[in-house]
Amino acid sequence: MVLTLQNITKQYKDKLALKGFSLEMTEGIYGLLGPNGAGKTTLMRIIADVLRPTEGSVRVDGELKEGMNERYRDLLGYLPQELGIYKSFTAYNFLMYIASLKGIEKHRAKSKAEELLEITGLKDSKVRLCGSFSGGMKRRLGIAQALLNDPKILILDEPTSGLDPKERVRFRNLISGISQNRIVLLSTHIVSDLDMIAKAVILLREGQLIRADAGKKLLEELDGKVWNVKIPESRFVEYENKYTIGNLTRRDGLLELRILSDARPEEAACPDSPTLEDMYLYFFKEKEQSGQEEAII
Amino acid sequence: MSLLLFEMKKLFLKRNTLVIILLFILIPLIPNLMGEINYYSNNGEPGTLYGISKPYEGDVDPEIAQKANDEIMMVLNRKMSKTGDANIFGDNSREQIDFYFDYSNADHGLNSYQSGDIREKPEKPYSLRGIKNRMETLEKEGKKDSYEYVMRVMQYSMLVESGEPGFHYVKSWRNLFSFLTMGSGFLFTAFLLLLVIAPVFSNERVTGMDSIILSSRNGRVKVVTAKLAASVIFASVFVIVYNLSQLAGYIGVGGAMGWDAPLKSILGYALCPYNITILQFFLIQLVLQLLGSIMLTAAIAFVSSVSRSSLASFFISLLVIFYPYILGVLLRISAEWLQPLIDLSMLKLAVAHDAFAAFKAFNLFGSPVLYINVLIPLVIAMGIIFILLTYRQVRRQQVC
Repeated sequence: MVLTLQNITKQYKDKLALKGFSLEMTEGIYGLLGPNGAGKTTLMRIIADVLRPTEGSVRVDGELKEGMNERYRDLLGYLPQELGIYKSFTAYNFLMYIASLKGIEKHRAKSKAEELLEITGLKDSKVRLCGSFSGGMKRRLGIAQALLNDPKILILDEPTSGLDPKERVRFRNLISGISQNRIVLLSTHIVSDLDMIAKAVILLREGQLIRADAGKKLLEELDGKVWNVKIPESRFVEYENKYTIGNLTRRDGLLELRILSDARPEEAACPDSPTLEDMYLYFFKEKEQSGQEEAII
Repeated sequence: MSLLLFEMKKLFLKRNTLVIILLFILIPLIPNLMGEINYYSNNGEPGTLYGISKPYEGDVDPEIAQKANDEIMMVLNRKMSKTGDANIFGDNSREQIDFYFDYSNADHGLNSYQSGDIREKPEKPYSLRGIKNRMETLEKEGKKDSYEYVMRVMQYSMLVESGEPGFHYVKSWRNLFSFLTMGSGFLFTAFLLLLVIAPVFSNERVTGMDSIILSSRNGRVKVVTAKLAASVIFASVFVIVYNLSQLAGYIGVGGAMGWDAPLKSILGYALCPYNITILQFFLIQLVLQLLGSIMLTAAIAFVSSVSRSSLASFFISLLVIFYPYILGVLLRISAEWLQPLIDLSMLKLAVAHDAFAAFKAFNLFGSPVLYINVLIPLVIAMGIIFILLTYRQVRRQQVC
């Protein structure tokens, strides 16, 4: 299956949320990264068919989603960033309600709901009212509802927010396990969520696609640009002004900094392997710096 | 089907809904019943009152009417003279005086029917004599082809054919109708519909469920059908339960006597142009209330589908439902052009009194068409338009 986004533009009254976004996606996990306000949620809403683009088109195997109508929505599983849950419904009833919205036959819906409650670790809370759920449990229920119809296009907006580390690992494994024959688009602020599982990373800034490529390829661009350096605390401000600092630890009275820099910052600096977090900082810090330069010019 | 069941569950089984339903049934019922119980304890047992009235049922006898009016005048005079402990009923029992009051009312109804009263205007007659006079005036003016003349002929013949108001023991029904078929009776239904139906679509926005619903296969069309059907079922169940509970309350206290009497036996309906019994009218007003409530439900659902919050949906719907009251009663606007807007509102259909208490017709292409025959199709058409607009709105809805 090929999901084609062509020249997607979304203009709100006084804000351009997306500018000519084009991308072609096939089966696999796509990580959507970008700072707040980059247009991630807008893009996901457009793909989820709950928001119309001002311009551009969404096609599945060449067919416009508008023409597909119900057939298009049949392919979707969507976990929005702000998930509403009926407080007076039990977890099981909530899933059965979503199943009826998705037009899933009752017998299949029952077995699928049971299966997903098990997978998401909510089996014991099956008959508990959703109103009594913690944030993490609601999120897991949200993930379960998105998977009810075995969607071919799974859109997950910040799926791991509110999950504890163990739940995040479980979620990563779950998504990784089901991604073979479907397109998964996942936005997150927790860059490490994408480690190992993302087929490609999409970098979005101010509504524009700045890069979409395999994580490995993007990381290659950072080879020789990640450094570890130990400095006395008194030099921190100097480093902070000069470099993008990824990490900071205090050891033996010195500060150990992880620095993103095209050139070796000093003789004693040791090169290190780049991570997705470094990549995020590199691409989004770069813009801030160039922005500053433009402002200076 | 399962979607409908879930939507019904969301409406009926919300924590507060059942409590609100119960309150909205009991709040009017309890004081009404207390009033009834109080009435019968002051004026006599229903069986005794019926026993006194029964021999006199039928056409109003002028002699008995005169005696009833005289006795009532004497009671009122004794009451006015403030003679403290003196028995204001004189030689009559309180049950007898109650009968005289009822008979006097029947006589008053007959007089209104035959010759009108001080409220009747020559250009707007409602009694047989007044209508006849008006027809003669129009004939003299050579306006026999005019709309008004044709309408007066229709009015006159319907009033004649529906028969003279007589005397019947209809106490329970009279009291029931004075609540149920007036605005006050429908007020509770209207407010309940507002409280329960106004959030039906808007609440999905408020809770953030709209994204999931709209992105699902059935989230643009079938869910609207399910929500509308659930709302209509809710409104219908409430209207039936509400009406039956009021009926059971009134006839439980005062008895069902008079169910087969002509509706005209009730003073407020003496000028009714239809020859129907009281039970028939109860069923007709129930059907009209159902129809009006269903159409109001459609209107509220539409408002809900375009509202960003349940509160906004509630208040906009409030205006949509109660504009006849707001314009006519609260703002005291009596402009002539406003009258058809008020007359042809959904609320007027649900409140059956106006369509049955007197003859009313609309000029449609020069022909008089009975009020109810204009009101029903018009309100149904409005309801259908609201339903179609709701589908259109949800089909185009976006999550921003």
